[in-house]
Amino acid sequence: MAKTILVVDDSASLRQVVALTLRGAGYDVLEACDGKDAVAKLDGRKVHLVISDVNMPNMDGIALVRALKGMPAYKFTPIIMLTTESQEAKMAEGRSAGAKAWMVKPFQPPQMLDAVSRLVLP
Amino acid sequence: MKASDAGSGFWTPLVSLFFDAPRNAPAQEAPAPSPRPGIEGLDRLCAHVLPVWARNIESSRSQTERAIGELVANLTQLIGRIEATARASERTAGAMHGDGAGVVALLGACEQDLAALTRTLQEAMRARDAIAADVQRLGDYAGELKEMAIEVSSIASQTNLLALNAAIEAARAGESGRGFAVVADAVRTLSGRSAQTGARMREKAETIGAAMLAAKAAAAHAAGEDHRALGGAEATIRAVLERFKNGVEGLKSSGQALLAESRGIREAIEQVIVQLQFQDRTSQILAQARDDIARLAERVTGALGRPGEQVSAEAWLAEMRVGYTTEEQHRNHAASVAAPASAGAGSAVTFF
Repeated sequence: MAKTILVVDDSASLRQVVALTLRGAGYDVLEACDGKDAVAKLDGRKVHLVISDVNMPNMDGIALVRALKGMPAYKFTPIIMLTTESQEAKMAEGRSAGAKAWMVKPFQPPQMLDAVSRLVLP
Repeated sequence: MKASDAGSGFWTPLVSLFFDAPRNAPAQEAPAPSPRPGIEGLDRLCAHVLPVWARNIESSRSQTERAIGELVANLTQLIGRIEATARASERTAGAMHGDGAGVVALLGACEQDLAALTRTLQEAMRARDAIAADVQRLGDYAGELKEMAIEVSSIASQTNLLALNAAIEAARAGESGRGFAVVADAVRTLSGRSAQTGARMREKAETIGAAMLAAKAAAAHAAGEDHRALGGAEATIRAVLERFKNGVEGLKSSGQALLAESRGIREAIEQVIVQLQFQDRTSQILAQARDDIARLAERVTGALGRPGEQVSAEAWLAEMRVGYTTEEQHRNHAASVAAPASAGAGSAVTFF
């Protein structure tokens, strides 16, 4: 059975690019347009990994990570931050919130798939 | 335009920043507030112009985002269709290779069926040849019968001659040979009948022999025709199968070429889609420029009724810097020349 990855980004085109890459590698993809939408769409549903943007309306990526780490069902779900941000301070913020990796856009599909395969839950 | 043309108050540093900053100086190194007078009406101009700029930037940003989004969606659909075509090509190629009910398998089955048909025809011809051989043997028997009929005729002739001699001797013997003369006459009658029977037998044997010869000739002719026809049929079957095989090979080659081409096109489109990620970066940069301009317009509008209000360019620039999300924005902030786009750069992954 294919593993499910939640992709959170306020840019629809970016979500499509990520989804295309992941689906091409055999993953199921769930999409959300911001942190709030992601929490609503999860709703207890099993996901094996989350890939989230940082700067988003309503609930940003860092807040989403904190929210997920506070939920028993998603406490151990690995999260990759995919963002244009490359500042050390922001990365440190993501790390302390509980993210497992920080990937700077634009991503290259092989690198993303490598990171996903290293972190995705069995 | 020089800063000396600008008005005083909080506009002075702003106008100095816009018009007097040295072209090669970093943006955050704005000159200190100048006591020189400003431009009459500049504040009102900014209050009206800045929102228009902000709206134009937002319009461009949203149009680009929408267009790129549609482009990505269309390209994604295109990839789906190409994948469907590639799968169909793979199925065709698989069929061409002969697995399942493929064309090659069908061709092989046809070849076997046709080979079985020619074997059946060959067996029929062998059976007909066997009958022709039997006819040949019957013809030989007819020849023997004719010889035997000739022999019967010869015996009848000799018997007749013998009976004639016996009659002569019986006449010479007179009264005592009268009985013997009757026997001799009877023998002559029988020899005559034997001769007639022998003649009829010879006629019949000749008729049968002729019929047998005709049948043999007809069978030989038919056999020759059949062998030629069967040879022609086999050659035609081989030629047709060969043409089919060539056609199938051609289809297989074109199917494989189509499959390879489909994969190449799909990969190229995927690369194009990945490269379209630049839109996310430009959208973020434009969105922040829009927000900064709108914030500045709000500040100017609010200050219109408060002459003498001061604004710190350094503080404004520092506030702008906080909102930056891309490396280009930081570089642009520190230099007077626009930083090259980094959308084509490879992504860096940091694991925590």
